[in-house]
Amino acid sequence: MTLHLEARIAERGFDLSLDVAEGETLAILGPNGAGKSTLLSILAGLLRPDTGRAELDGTSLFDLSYGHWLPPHRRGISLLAQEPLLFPHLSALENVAFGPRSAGRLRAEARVSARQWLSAVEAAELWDSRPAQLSGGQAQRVAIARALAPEPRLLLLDEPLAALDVAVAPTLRRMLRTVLAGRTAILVTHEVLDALTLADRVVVLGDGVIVEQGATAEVLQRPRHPFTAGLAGLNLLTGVRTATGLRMADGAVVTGSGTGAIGVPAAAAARPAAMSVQLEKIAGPNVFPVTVQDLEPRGDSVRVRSASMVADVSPGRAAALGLTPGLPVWFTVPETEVTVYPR
Amino acid sequence: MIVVAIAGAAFVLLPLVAMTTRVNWAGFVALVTSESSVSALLLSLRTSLVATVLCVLVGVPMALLLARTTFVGQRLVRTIVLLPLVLPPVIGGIALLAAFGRQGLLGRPLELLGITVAFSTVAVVIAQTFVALPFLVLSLEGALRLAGTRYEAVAATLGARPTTVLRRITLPLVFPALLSGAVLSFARALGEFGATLTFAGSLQGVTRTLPLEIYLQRETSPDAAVALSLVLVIVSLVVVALTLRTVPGARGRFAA
Amino acid sequence: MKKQLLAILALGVLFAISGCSAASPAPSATLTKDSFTKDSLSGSITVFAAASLTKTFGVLVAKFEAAHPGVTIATSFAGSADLAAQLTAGAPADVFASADAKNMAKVATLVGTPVKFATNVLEIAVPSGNPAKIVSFADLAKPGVKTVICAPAVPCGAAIIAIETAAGVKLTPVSEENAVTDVLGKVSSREADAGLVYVTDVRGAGASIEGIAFPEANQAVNTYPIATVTAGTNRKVAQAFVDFVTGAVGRSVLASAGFGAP
Repeated sequence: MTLHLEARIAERGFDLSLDVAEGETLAILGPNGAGKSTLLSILAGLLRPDTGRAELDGTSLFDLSYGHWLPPHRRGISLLAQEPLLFPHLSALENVAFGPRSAGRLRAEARVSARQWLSAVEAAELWDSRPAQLSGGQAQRVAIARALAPEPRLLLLDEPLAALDVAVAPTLRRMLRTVLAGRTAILVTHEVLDALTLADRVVVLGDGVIVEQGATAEVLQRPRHPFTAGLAGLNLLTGVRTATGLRMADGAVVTGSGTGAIGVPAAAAARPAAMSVQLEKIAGPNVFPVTVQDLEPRGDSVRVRSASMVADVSPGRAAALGLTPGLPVWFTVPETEVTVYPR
Repeated sequence: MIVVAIAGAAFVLLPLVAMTTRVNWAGFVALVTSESSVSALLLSLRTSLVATVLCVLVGVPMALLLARTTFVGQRLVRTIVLLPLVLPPVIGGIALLAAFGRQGLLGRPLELLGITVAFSTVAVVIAQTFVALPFLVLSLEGALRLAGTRYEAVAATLGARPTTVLRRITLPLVFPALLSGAVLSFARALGEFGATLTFAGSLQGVTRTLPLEIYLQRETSPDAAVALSLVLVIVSLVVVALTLRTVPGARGRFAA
Repeated sequence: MKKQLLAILALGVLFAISGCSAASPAPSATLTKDSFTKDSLSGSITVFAAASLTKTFGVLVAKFEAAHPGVTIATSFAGSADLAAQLTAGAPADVFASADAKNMAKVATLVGTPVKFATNVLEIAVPSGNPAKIVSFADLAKPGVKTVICAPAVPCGAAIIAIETAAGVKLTPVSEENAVTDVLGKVSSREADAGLVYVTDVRGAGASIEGIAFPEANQAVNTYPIATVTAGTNRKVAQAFVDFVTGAVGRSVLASAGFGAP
């Protein structure tokens, strides 16, 4: 274990405890206001919680039980934000050299190191540019180099790709994947793709507390929280485990295969594409009466939303059914497409 | 609205233009190059420069404290710092006398140490600094608040200790505002009259700055007073124009 | 909102204007009922007098008006140079009392024959208690004594050069002020050890200032002339007022303020 954190801020209802292993990249998912940025600010030393303590590589970052608080510049923790925040009065090279210079390295030495980091993010040719001359993607690459140049023990990334063009994001995502390999990092993101491609493990925050966590693939395939299910693009049905699936709070029965002992709280997940829509009730398991709330075209399919579930159908099927908002329909899903697991 | 704006501009311009019609151009050079005029101008420039340096040395920490920290009584401190801006200068002079005069709170101990402030060039600089300081603090504090703390936070996470952040990030970021604040302070110091007259006295080469010289000349030689006024207007114009030129973004800021 | 602002502005302007007109001489209509008194003098006059005469002429005007109920006198006090300039520019006045002959000479064509009615001499003003132990004019030049005088360009400073020559002493003042009030202010606040002002200024300054007369002052006696203005509308009253000032009552009021006899 390299990072251990416990922190509480009563006013914000923020209360969590987490660990990050050496070389591990942890993704923090969660809706707006869940406390993701608060978590990063506490770790960076920019925000002091009410109580708690944190330790990184055996050094105490803070322990408020006796008022210990390491200032940001002595933590060895770099922060890469959504915006590059390059110092506007310094060139790209000077921006990247800022960390090494602050650590007391000689000017020439810091510049050599800065050039190497710029090359590593494929921005070597931008060394002489002013931040104002850089595109969003270029600036964020320089910002990545700058965050890495002090060789931080922990790298914090706050939605680093969110402000970028859709066209630029994939390149940077690939670059971050290389950069994060073997590095201890915490990545706050909204984007499930970021979590999948960059993180080893995810923690989902809701209202300041951890609502679920685990290996990225595991959490995304078997979400326990509606937010995670939404991110993973899955329908999530919750209830109590039965022999054949689960029984929901309203008495509806979900049939499917999976794990968990009978009687434990359980969740069932189904892909929207596996759902079908009928105008009449049909015989068989997993038939749910719903009302169409809205229709959303998604490339070669149409997403049909109801209050509790979504279904993806072909545009032809949607037209044939005459789907319109307010229409009562039946969603069905084959039991083979339903995964049941304990909550 | 445009009409009112134009009227406002004319209101400022008209007296200045009117003054140039009173200038005795034939004698202009002789009037402004007289020994007392040159001596007053040089004294004004010298003292204003020192006052500006003092304003920067004192004002930068004050602006930082006001913009970057919160403490009990901060509003009160800000109000007091800005007070010389609205105070009639003669009141400033009376207050300075009470502090630095020979019978003053600080003046008496200083006199025991052999330092006499009264009637010295130092008194002129003190008076100028007193009235000019708010300009620097005001413009710098505003710029610091506008710049925000995000760059400073990033610099800290990159391992920069607070002094490094101040030197390499904060101050460079607000440098244009620092420069324009310093120029405004200089201009205010150059124009200082009331506090100097009350506090420092008026002696050629020692305490008689250009505005005091103009006031004195007005008694006997109105021509010389007008000529010197024109010189002061030109010096002020050059100073302001220089800032607008050299400070990027200052055009926008001044216009706003 | 805008209209309200305008209204307030307009009101302010009106107020300011009416305030000004109230200060001008009272209309003659109010005087007519007094013309039944046996005193032959009646009507109103305007007196222009040097600023240093503010107190004494205030007293004299009151006394004159009391003696002649049909007469109203408006006064305007300012620097003699300013008053002379106003007269030249055609300002309506009946009597002009100047602080020096020079400014009276400027308006010689506009006034009758000037009469000298008072003199004034310089005196050393020191803070109460006389901390620097000044006893003579020469003491002002002693090292360490902080002396404040009027600048040579202004009237209260012009006389000093003559005195320096007579005394054989060259002053090294710490400040050359623009006005008597500035000199007095620096002495009464104890910033300066001594200042040179007119004896009447010392009398009027109050307890914070002591005066020290010195013989060399007689080398530069300042004489005050008074004259009627030829273009005046009420020359009879004007002449009566001049006679009053130069007469016994005027003499005693002026003497009590420190002015000398001409």
